[in-house]
Amino acid sequence: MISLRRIAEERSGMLFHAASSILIFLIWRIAGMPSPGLLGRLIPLSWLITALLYGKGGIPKLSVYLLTVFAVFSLFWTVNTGFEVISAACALMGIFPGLMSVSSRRFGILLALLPLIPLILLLVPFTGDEPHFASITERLVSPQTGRFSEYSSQLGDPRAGISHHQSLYPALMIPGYPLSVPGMRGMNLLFAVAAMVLLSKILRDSGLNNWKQLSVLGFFLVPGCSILGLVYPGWLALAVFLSAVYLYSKSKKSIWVITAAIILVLIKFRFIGLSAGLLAALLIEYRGKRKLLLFAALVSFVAAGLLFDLLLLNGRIFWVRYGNMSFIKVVLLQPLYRTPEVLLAAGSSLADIESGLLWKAPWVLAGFAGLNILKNRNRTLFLWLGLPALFYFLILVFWNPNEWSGMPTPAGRMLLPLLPVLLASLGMVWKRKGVKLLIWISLGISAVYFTYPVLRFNFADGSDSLVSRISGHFSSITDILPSALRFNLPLFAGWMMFALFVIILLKRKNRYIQYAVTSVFLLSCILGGLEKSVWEAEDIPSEYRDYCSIYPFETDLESRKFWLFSREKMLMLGDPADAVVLPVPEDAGDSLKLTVLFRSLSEGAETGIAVSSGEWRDSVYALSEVRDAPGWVSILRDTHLPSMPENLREVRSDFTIPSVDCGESIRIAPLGLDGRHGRYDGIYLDRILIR
Amino acid sequence: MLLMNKGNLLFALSISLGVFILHGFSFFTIAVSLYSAGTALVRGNRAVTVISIIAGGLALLFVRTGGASALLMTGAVFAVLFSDRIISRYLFALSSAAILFSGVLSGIIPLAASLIAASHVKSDKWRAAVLAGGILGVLIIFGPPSTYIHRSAVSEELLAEGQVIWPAPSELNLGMRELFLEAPGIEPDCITLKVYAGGVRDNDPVGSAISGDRVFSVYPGENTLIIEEPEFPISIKITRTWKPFSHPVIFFEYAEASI
Repeated sequence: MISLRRIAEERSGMLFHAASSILIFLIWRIAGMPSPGLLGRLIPLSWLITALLYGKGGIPKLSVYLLTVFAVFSLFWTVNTGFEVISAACALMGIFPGLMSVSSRRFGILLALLPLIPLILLLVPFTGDEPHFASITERLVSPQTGRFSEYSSQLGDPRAGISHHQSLYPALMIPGYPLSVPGMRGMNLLFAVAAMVLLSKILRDSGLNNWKQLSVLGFFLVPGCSILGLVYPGWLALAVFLSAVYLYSKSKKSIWVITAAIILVLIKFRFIGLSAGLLAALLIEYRGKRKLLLFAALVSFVAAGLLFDLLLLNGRIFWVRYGNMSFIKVVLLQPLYRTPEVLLAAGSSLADIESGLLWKAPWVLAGFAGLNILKNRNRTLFLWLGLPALFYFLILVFWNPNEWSGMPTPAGRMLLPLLPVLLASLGMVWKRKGVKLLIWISLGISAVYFTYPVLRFNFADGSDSLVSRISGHFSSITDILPSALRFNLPLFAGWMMFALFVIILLKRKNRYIQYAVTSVFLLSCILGGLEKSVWEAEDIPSEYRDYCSIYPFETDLESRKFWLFSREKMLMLGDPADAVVLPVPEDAGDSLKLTVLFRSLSEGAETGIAVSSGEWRDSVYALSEVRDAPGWVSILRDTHLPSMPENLREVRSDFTIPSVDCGESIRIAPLGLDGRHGRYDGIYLDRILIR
Repeated sequence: MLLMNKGNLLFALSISLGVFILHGFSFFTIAVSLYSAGTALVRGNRAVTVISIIAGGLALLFVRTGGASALLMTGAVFAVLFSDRIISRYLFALSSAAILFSGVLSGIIPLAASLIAASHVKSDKWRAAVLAGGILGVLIIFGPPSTYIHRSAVSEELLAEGQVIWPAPSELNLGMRELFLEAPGIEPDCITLKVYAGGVRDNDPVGSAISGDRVFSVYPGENTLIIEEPEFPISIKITRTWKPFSHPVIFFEYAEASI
């Protein structure tokens, strides 16, 4: 006779997940949380799917903890802006322990992904490059106008009729096209599954015990989850790259590597780094005469490929983009004249708040800590996964140091090719103190990105969407987080040092690692909770502004792409009615020091700023000079910079306001704009400091 | 026993000291100190300590809003439920009492009382039952806790040719109940607002738009409100209060006013 008690004991995990699904559904509604029809259903659905997949097994303790946090915290979601985000993330995060356990079963890698598919297909906005890829797929299916035809051209297309994107990847999405966006996203999910199944086989063959869990983490963690299931070629490239590594390891036939190297370039030219890395690994594997022969064959092959592109493809792969002197000059200029920018790009891949992995995926610190162990224990794996990743990364930051991150598309997507080597090295330090902590913090961040995918998108404005949403406009936290755009060398270097310190502690198995991470976390929170004294002008919320507008208005980085000095946005005061009205700090002493950093542009009367607070008022008239173009620009072309806000030298004005005269707020307004002449005339505020 | 945790306690002490120096002496800073001491003494699964630290740490980020108290209360409920050490549970319960006295959160008396009651209880199941009773008590007697700090948003206004426009869409819900439209120094002849409302199970107004003495109801569905000679600031607010299975929401799409 079937004993219900025995079933309940054996399948307690399954019953727990099913009961939790109902509980979350009810709590969501009882608490009155937002998006009951979508998030309030999709999260319980993901728990329910987890329950169905769970099979036999106990209740994961961590899931119980996370469910409890959600149940209690959902009571308070109305108390602060952004709390609903944390609440929803806790609710979703509760399925991860169960999915990690599911991953060790047969077809576990595929099964662990299933609960997240509804969230990916229904929540992530169809934006960025996705519609452009979809429009190319559509054109390949039917030359007539279709649902994506309005996206057929894009900024950055090298020539009319030749898309910035190539056709191989869109062609592979044709099977999904009849189902529209979900169909094409489904194809990309298949590419991701293929990539992670291949990685799991590579890791298994290399003797790593937790190969399935590591592969599943590839889906759940940034950079993997950034574009998981989205219409971007990253996962396909990863699948091709890993298939070459796997097939070569099995057959030792170089044809697999060479074929993959060609396909990668045809998917997207950016992946040429992966191709180069694969071929370099192949060259290292070869010995003696064979090495020379292979090298000669590769050089001839590349030359033949370039000729083929020029003569038969009308240069659409290489020549139309890079076959000109300007490009060659730019390539030469990067290391000689723009070294700081290239170095900053490399550093920002880790530390920048908008695109750096330290903030989206702190688990990578453990990955870096394990690299040396991976090299010592399994040199072949290190070589085949590491070298392509290294080549890719170097070309990425070298190629375009200002735009390597691909913003405003999902943060981390450009670093996807680094995932296999980092996961392999993570496997080497898996059991060390502090590693699990980093992984679970990263999973928490991923849970936010799965539930509120819009927070994955940053706009290269110096502030991170997730941090801003949770901390609000009035938090000081943004002042202590490093940004490549609002570059502050001590701050940036400090965070880089911290990352390095954690890597060293992890590498040395130091038991104080958790104290170090906790101290920095708590210190950042304490400082972030202090009263705001530094205002980045473009971040000043509308309650503290009378009119004003952001310069440039476009959110895309494209309009700031060719700015030579700083790509930071500014707050434009272009009308006499425009003003900024900031609160006076609570703990002001005898006097208040106010510093305003701005640019002043006028083709007519002299302009400046008027500052007032209570009975006190003062004003400054100033006109900013146009800066000289950097030396490297004049090598490219003879350039005289136009009088535009981005080319102006900054003016710094200091004011001291006696506390007795000070009102409750400080007003900063433009002067001399009554008879405005030029289109860009105005005051461009950069930063305001109140001490 | 305490000596075994002296490293953790020293750590907690330094955090408390930092908070006292930066934020002064108040019920909130006392709550932080008790909370950090409680966290230092947690015994049980490592995850309990980590989650308590994260909740407490994030609380420090929201000192200027009611968010800090909410996070400390959440962390306290969680730790009282899962910590195996009675002294740690007492400290968390006392921390919740300090939050109660700080007066930032309303309607948390049943929860604070259940925390104090539960911290004595040895059995995990009974502790969970007492705390669940506290949460239900909060919901039944007061509804979800709220802050005394009034939170509202101000829509960004732009001056265009002959008109003022408020182009940025924003969403109002029970967490952010009110949105203001301002037109500093300008008195438009007429303003048109486009708002949508929903999330309720009847056809009564979800909220209202207020301009001076005039009140315009916002009904579920699409609303186009035209206000002649408006008085600023115009407030759009949700008038519904919390009710289970109700999710009142107003979506402000845009507004434009001719000068």
